[in-house]
Amino acid sequence: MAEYRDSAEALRSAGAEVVALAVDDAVRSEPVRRELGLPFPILCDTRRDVVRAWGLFNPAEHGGIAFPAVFVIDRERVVRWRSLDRTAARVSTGAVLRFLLEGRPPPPPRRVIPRLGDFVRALRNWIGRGGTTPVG
Amino acid sequence: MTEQPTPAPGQTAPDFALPDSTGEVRRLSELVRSGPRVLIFYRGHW
Repeated sequence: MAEYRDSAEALRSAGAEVVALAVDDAVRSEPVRRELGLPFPILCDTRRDVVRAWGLFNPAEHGGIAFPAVFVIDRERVVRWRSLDRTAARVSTGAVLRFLLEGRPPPPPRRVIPRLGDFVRALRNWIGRGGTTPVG
Repeated sequence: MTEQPTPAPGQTAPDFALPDSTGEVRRLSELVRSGPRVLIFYRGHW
């Protein structure tokens, strides 16, 4: 949340306001909003209706919470971009900003298996260094 | 309410109205009226 607080102004400059949502009630959320100085509202989905309707209900933890996710919703309520962050760390605000500014999704993750050309180049570089393993 | 598929890019998101932490009721369709919104679902605090 702090990262989104720090990026709220940049996101606003890029044309989008922020709104957060969790299953916590106001008694829990309001002190957090104040302490972190969040410049955006926190919505309280205490009945879990919205997280269920959006397919983001995680029943396995803490009596049922939201799976982390970020959406860019346009004026017609159409999803323009989304990041479902169920297993990895939450998407960075940089990725959201890049989408807002450039209108395209962030680049796909790097290939895990290198292309043959990359492998040959790496091998040549390694041989060029005398075949030693880099230290540190 | 049963679990639904998560809205994907190009799809219309389900509308909702929820109170914020100050008690003010916010409706998604009204929040986006002034411009796009970055909507963050987060795990919450405990």
